[in-house]
Amino acid sequence: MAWLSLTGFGLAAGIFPLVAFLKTSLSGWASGGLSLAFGWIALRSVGFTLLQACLSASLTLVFALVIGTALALAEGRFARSLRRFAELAGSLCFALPGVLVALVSLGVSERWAAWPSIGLAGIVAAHVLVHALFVASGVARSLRNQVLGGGAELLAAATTLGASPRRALATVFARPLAHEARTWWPLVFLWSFGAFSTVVILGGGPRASSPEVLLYFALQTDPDPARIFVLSVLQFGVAATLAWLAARRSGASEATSTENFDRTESSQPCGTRIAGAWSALGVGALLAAFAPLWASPFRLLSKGGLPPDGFGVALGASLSLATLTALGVMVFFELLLRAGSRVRRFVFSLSGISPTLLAALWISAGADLWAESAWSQFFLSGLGLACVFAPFAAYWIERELDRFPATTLEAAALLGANDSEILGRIVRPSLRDLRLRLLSLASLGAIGDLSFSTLFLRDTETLATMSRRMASRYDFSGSSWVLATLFGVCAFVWIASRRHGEKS
Amino acid sequence: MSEYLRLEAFRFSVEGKGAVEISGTLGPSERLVLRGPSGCGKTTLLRSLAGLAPTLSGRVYLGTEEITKLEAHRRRVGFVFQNGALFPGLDVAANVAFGLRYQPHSSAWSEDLRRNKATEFLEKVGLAALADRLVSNLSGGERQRVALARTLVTRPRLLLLDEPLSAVDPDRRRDLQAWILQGLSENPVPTILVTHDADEARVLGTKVIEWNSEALKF
Repeated sequence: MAWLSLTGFGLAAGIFPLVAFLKTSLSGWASGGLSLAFGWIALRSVGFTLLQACLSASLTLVFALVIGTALALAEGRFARSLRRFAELAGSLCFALPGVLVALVSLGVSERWAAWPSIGLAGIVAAHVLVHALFVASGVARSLRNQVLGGGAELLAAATTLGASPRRALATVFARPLAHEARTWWPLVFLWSFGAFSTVVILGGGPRASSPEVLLYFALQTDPDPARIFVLSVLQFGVAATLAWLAARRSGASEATSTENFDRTESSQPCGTRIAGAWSALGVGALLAAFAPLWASPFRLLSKGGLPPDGFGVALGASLSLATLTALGVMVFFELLLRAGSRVRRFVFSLSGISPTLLAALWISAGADLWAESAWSQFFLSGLGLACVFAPFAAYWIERELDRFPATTLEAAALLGANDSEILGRIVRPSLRDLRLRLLSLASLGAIGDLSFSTLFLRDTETLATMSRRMASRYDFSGSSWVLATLFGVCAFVWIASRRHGEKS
Repeated sequence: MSEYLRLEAFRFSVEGKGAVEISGTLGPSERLVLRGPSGCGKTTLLRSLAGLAPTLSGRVYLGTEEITKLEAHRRRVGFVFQNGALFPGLDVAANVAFGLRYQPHSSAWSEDLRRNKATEFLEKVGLAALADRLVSNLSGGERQRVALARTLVTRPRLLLLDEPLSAVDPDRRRDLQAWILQGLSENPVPTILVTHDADEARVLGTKVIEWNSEALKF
């Protein structure tokens, strides 16, 4: 089945860009050579993006590791609720780049809603907001599974050997935390590196731009094939190289098996009240720092008013796009699960394909001309967004399989099960939670997406594009409806997926 | 169907120690105990015999059939791992019934029949009450007992036990030793056991190898 995975992903994400590459390079050459497009702005945007992605990933990890450890250590009903809340808030953030557009623009007319800063600080703050709680909940879950199942014994062992409580904690947690940092940093870096909405809204001009944003403008306002080509290569080349390095590093550092796979929430953690207080403080501080964002839909809704024209259609379009994306991700998930480790690592190295880049390459290849009907536009957008999520699916699957105890798979083989039966009966059910998480994230990402929604869905507005249009016109009442609905839909998608996961 | 196990100059590699060669024949009613320091290659030998680790040279026969190059899932070798290696997504009974689907004598059984058989074996190891429980909620000793039941229910042609009772409490261990002996007398298969417990070696073993050289015979 590995070839199927390669063919599916290659067709969707590989062949089109290749065609685009040839087409744009030829037309770029014909229109005066590539050197004209390779200006200082493009180079500067790469430098800026590397810096902001580095800062975003590092600061996100600082928050996430502290909050995640505290969340993992905390026990009791309050701590469980807090963990759930952090997970919910973290996942919702994936749909927020679209919301950010409206909030920043609204800040011009409503002083309380203004974003704290524009430029590097503003972008980094937004990325920390988007990712910190999500990563923190992932860190907490991982620490509880990996360490805390036997953590009480480990801590006791360290203490009886003469380590102080603080030293014992450091000894027990240092390695898993380093492992979490190695796992999450490249992901957050790549998310920040490929970010579009936050940079286009918070960048504040050419001094704080990115290849992604330049690419968008090269497509929208001043079509220039040579520039598109150069920016695409820059964006993809840098991100793909970093993803490849991250995949290699991750592969080298992962243990082949651990015996803690099936430790669950029922394992007794060695939590403390102090940890509960710390985690509450951390989550609270992060949420309070962005209080205007959380409060905005409620405050805006309190002003009342009728839903804007086309609101129902936009809601339907967003939900359709989310459903199509989720379906695409589900197909990729199954293919990647059946593919070999090398295929998954290769697919992860394609993390450089961000929504704007993929949309740009497809447009260069003439896909937008083919997609004239609304149905085909939705289909392509859903497929494109699913392609963007596929590398992360590959990364997570690989990571989970690496942690799967080798002896468990060997036991199944010795009992007579072949590879496909082991996959179907042992591995696949164990990845149910991961599959649901991916599906809900992909759906939320699709709802918050601006790239495909703007570049491909030419005749239909989604909630995200509608919020952008209204914000640019300072339509306070209309924006309130869109923002509140975005929050509501995102919460519904996430809660529904969690409930389904718990039932199954 | 009782078969002999025959190893002919069977060589395998032990990490950090180099190659080890072992030869000998084990009858269906015989139980070989491997004893030696940690890291000497006892578990590696079991894994090589099961087809889970590579073989350097030599041959392995079960009866008249050479299994040296046979894939692990076609050997019908029972292996009880030290940690149990239970399937995390399945309950206890489903873990025990798992292998019955793939064995010639039970592949045509209905799901209910397989589960009943599993429950019967769980009763023998004293865990019938936990049949519906997820394996993540079991203690170390309980995990080993489930692993033992899961392996024995499939009626393997060769039984490999890697410290199978190390986490079981002493009273329960004696019962399980008696149960293993009774099961093996009813369905005799050649058995190789790794243990550090001298009493267990004496009770369960009919032959003992002290692992003190790079060429072993039994």
